This record gives sequence, structure tokens and C-alpha cells, in this order.
Amino acid sequence: MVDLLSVLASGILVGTVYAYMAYGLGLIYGVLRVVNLAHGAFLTLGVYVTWWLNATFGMDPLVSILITVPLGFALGATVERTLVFRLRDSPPVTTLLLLFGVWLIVRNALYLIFGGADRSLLTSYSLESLALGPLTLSIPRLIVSAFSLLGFVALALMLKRTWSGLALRAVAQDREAAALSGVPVNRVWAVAFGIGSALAMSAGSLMSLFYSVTPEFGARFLLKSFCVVVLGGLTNIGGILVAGIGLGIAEDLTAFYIHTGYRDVVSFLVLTAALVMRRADAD
Amino acid sequence: MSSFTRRHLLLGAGALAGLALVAPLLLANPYSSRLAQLLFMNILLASAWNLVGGFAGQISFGNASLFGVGAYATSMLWLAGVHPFLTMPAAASLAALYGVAWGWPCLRLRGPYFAIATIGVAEATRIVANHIEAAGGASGLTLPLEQDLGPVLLYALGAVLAVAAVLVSAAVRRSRLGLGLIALREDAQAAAASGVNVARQQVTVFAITAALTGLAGSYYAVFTLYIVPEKVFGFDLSISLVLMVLVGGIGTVMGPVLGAGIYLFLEQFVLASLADIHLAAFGALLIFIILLEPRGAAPRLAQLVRLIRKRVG
Repeated sequence: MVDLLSVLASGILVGTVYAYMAYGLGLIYGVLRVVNLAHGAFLTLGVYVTWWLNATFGMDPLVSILITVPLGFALGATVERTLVFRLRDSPPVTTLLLLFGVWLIVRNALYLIFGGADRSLLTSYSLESLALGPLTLSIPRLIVSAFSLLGFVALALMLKRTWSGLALRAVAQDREAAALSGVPVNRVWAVAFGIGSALAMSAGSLMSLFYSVTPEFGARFLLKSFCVVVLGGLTNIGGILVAGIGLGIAEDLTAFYIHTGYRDVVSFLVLTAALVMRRADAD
Repeated sequence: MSSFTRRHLLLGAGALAGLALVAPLLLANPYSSRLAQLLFMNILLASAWNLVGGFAGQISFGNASLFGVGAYATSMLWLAGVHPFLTMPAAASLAALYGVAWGWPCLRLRGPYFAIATIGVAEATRIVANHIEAAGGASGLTLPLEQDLGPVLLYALGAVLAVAAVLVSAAVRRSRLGLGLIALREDAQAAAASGVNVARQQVTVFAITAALTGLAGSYYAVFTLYIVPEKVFGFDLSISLVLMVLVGGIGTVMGPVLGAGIYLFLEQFVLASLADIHLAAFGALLIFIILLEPRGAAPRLAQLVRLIRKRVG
């Protein structure tokens, strides 16, 4: 029973981070109708920038969010302006392939600069844990989970309360109607891509606290992000949060009761099943 | 088989005769015979991918899962004492079965959704393959070196497989099935309205794709004599197919052949000297093709041929 409870608790904590890491992908899809395969590149960049700042200046990963958010926004908006924008009238698969090209280049650049070795980042609180009755919860996971939830609240407020948020939602709902009512659609696209990438890079900062840092980081978590976004319903914040937590729990249950090696199989199978079942939306 | 015209059969026989003529040149040393084997395998893979990726416009990132099934089927049967030639039908049918098993639900999805679903299937397959101890787990299988078929037989086998794949591709292109797929790619609703059974046609063609891809895997196992899950089920393999077809010309019969050749050339002669940046070079190539030459090299080549004909005639 205690086993099950701690598996559930850790699944929930990891799941909130999954939701945060995936949201950018859903936002970009919602606004631009583009499947951002470069999401994996931004996740990995976030992890490496955070690791590098920590290794060189001893900066805490949570502080480095102040750097990864604006950096991610700038990089994402640049990719949209220079590459994605040119393909705005092509079939979605072309953009998907294009962004895959971007990801390959980033992955290669990271191999060249940092090598392929696994690295990890240790802080004073990395190994701390909190006893809660019979449960022990890892402090970094609690912190990261809390930050993810905060990020979600901030994002929800931004989308609801600000003019940019209104414009983003308008374009996501109906691009032409938004353009007709004077929303600068081109600028909104760049902003959406920027926010999506900023979310991905800052998720990398958070995740560097308990995942090892390798150039392949993004490959693993890109597919999980897809899984969460497809399950949760693309731009639906609540749905994505629930889907993230669901995936986190499902993975931890598999790892604990079946085999750790099959942890990642769960997300791939859930992803495919979710896609097939959501066929109606997909058409 | 009315779509298999006599002209196609003649062209196929001509291609085989041509390949037999240049055989002494390509069999000159182990390296050149390996290049020929890889070229035949690439043609087989790219033509197979193009049936669904090009004609139906359904981009698959998951063909490695079919290649791996073919490679493993042949290797395990061979190790159990079956002659490698006899394992090939089994490899093709198992790959076709596996392809239909996941293609049937996934092909209901379109465009980017299908593409993502295929990544999910292929990655799940790769991880599971790494854990099957009966099939050698992550360290793979080594085949009996002493039973190597030898370069001449391997060359002939590869040539026949590659030419057959191109003929199948031409036949599908001309058949009702192929025309239905193309109609579907252009406008799914209109195609369904004019009586194209959307799901069934795609699944049928995907079964052919899967069988051919399984054969390629089988051929790979027979000429390399060593397979590991990370390679035969790997994502890199799936990506290389997409690149080959895009480079050559997506949705054409000869595009994949051209692309297979260009890809092999790039891989062996250009990227070998740029090993450190080969991922980035592939990425840059992908971006370049999509932005500047989305139809690939085949239309350009056709243009050139027409120009020459005009000059000569």
C-alpha cells in the first residue's frame, strides 16, 4: 500500500512537469497549426544552457529560468520568422520535416560543443527529501512540480487577461476572422512560437534537476510531450495537466510493477492509442 | 496484373541485363560490392516508402519497425537452420502482418498525426526488441559467417529485389489502387465521394510497403551477418528513407531510385569526411530541399532529358 502510494505521489509530481514541458507544443499547434518537431531541440537547449550556467557560474537551475525564458522566446521567434513563416501555405507535413531539420542541426551542435557524455547537475538540495507520514518525497521533485504549476497559472492568466493572450486565442480559434478584425496574425504567430519555445527551454531548466543531460534528452521527451498534448487536447490547459499527471502515474506504475525498461514504451503506446481514438479531431 | 505492361517487363529485364553487365565492375573489391548491396537495399527501401509516403502522401517515420521485423525473421530462422533464401518469404509476410497490424488503425489518421503515430509505434518496437532476450536482447544476433552467400549471389539477389521493387512501384502507380491513393492525397473528401475506399486502399498499399521493407531488412541481415536492435529498428534508418525520397523526388517512380543513389553517394563520400557534423549536414540538406526544391531531383532530371532530346531531335 505504501509502495503504491509513493508510486502515485511520484507519478503526480513528474506528471505536472510533463504537462508543463508539453504545453508549448500544444500552444504552437493551436495557433499556427504546425507540429513543432524542434520542440525537442528547445527542451535539450534548455537543459544544456542550465547545466552550463551551473557548471560555470554555479547558478541555481531555478534562477536560470530567468535566462532560458527570454532566450527561448528569442530563438523560437527567430525560427518562426526565418523558416516556418516561408511555409505558411504548405501542407503541415512539410513544416514538420523542416523543423525536424532544425532539430538535427541543434542536436549535432550540442554533440560538437559538449560531447555525447551523460552529465548531471547537483545542487545543495538535489538529494534532500521530505518525509510525509509513510511517504518520502524528493525535494527537487516537489520544487519542480510547484514551479510547473506556477508556470501554468501565469500562462493561464496571460492568455485570459492580456491583449496578447486574447490575440493568441483569437488566431487559434479562427485565423481569418482574427485577421479581419485587425489582429496582426503574422506577429501573433511569431509570439506564439516564441512563447512555446520559451516554455520548452524553461521546462529544460526544471528537468535538469533530476534527469541526466545528454544531446538525446529531447528525443525522449519530445515524444512524451506529443503524448500529453494529444491526450489532453492540444490547447486545453486543464486537459494537458490531467494528461501529464496521467502519463506520469502510468509510467511509474509500469516501471514499478512490470519492468523499468518498459517505462518509455507506455508513453509511445498511449500516444498511438490516443491519436487513433482522437481521429475525429484529427481530420 | 493488367497494369504490369509488357513495356515495364521489358524495361525491368533491360535493367537486370544492364546490372549484370556492370557487375564485374562493382564486384571488383569488397568495398565496391558492399556499395552495390547498400544501393540495392536503399532502392528497395525508398521505393517501398514512396508507395505510401509519396503516392498517398502519408509520411511514415516508422518504417524501421518493418525493416527490423524482416531482419530478425531472417536471422532467427537462419540460425535455426533454414536456408537464407527460404527465410525471405517469411520475413516479407511477417513484416506485412506487422505493418497491417499497426497500419490499419494508424492510417485512419492523416498528415502530421499519422507521422507522429508512426514515431510512437517504431520507438515502442525498438525498446521492446531491446528487451527480448530470446532474440539476443540489446546485443543483437550474429549470423553464421561461414555460410556467407558470397558477393556474386548477394549482388544478383539485391539486383532482382531492387528491380522488382521499382516494377511494383510502377505497377501500383498505374493501377486503380495507385490512382485512388493519389486522388486521396489531393482531396480526401472528393476521393471518398467518388467511391475510393479510403482506409482499405491505404492499408493494402501499406501491406506492400511493409513486405518490401521487410525484404530489405532480410537482405540487410544476409549481407551484413550481424544485426542489433538500435540499428535495424533505429529512428535514423526511418529518417534516412524520408530523406532519400525527398532528395530524389517524392511521389514519382524513379525519384526514390535517384534519391537512393544520391543518398548513398552523400553518405559514403561527402559525410564520411564530415563525420562530426553529419547530423547537421542532413538537417541542412532537409531544410534546403524543403525550402528550395520541394519536388526533389527527379523533375529537374526529366527537364534535362527533355532538353537534350529536343537538341538532338
